Amino acid sequence: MATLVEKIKSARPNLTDIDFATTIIVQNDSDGKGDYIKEWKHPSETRPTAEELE
Amino acid sequence: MTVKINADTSDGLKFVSDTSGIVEIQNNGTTIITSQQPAFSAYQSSAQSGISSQTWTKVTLTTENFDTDSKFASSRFTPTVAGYYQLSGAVQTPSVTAAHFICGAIYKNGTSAFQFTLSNAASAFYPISTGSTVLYLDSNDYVELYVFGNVGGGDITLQTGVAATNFEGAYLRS
Repeated sequence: MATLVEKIKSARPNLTDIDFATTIIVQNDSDGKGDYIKEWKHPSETRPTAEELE
Repeated sequence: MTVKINADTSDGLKFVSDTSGIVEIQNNGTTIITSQQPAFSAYQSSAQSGISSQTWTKVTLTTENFDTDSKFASSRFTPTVAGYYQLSGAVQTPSVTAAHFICGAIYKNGTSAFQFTLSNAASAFYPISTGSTVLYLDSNDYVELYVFGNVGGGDITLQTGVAATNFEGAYLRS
């Protein structure tokens, strides 16, 4: 099963690894709720919708 | 309430006593040292699953070396005593023969407050990311250890053990 980061990369193929260390924060608080987008500050790529990440 | 020993600029030494068992040394009414000085040290003793590649993930720290005031629970330090705290930690993976990176961070109230050094190489013998900082924590702030990484393009696992993946902190001053 694809991780959230993999789904985001699939929905926004122009993103690179460095984006996830700088302008996009995907987080998991180890509380059983799984991965989620904590912060999206990418200058050009829009945040994917929930439908795009399904 | 607390017992207060205050160096007052008008009255000189002022002393307030009660039965709390807590003592504070004050500089003109401002507490600079308290007898409540929480300190903790914990490490990961059970392997943590579900650390996705490139996803800041809270590290589960399952064993305590010490926890002087029982302020560490659920891998979270909530000292409840306002002041400056020395905090440090380390995140380590088993040896890898593929390109990887791993970075730890101290989160304050759910947001990154200090990032560790980045371990980033084609391969490495037990790569580790470590860091140390001083943060001010108020009476309800909390801190946690997070990790971010990628090994061979995939998810990461952490090396367990007291000298591998750990988190510790201690009160410095008010």
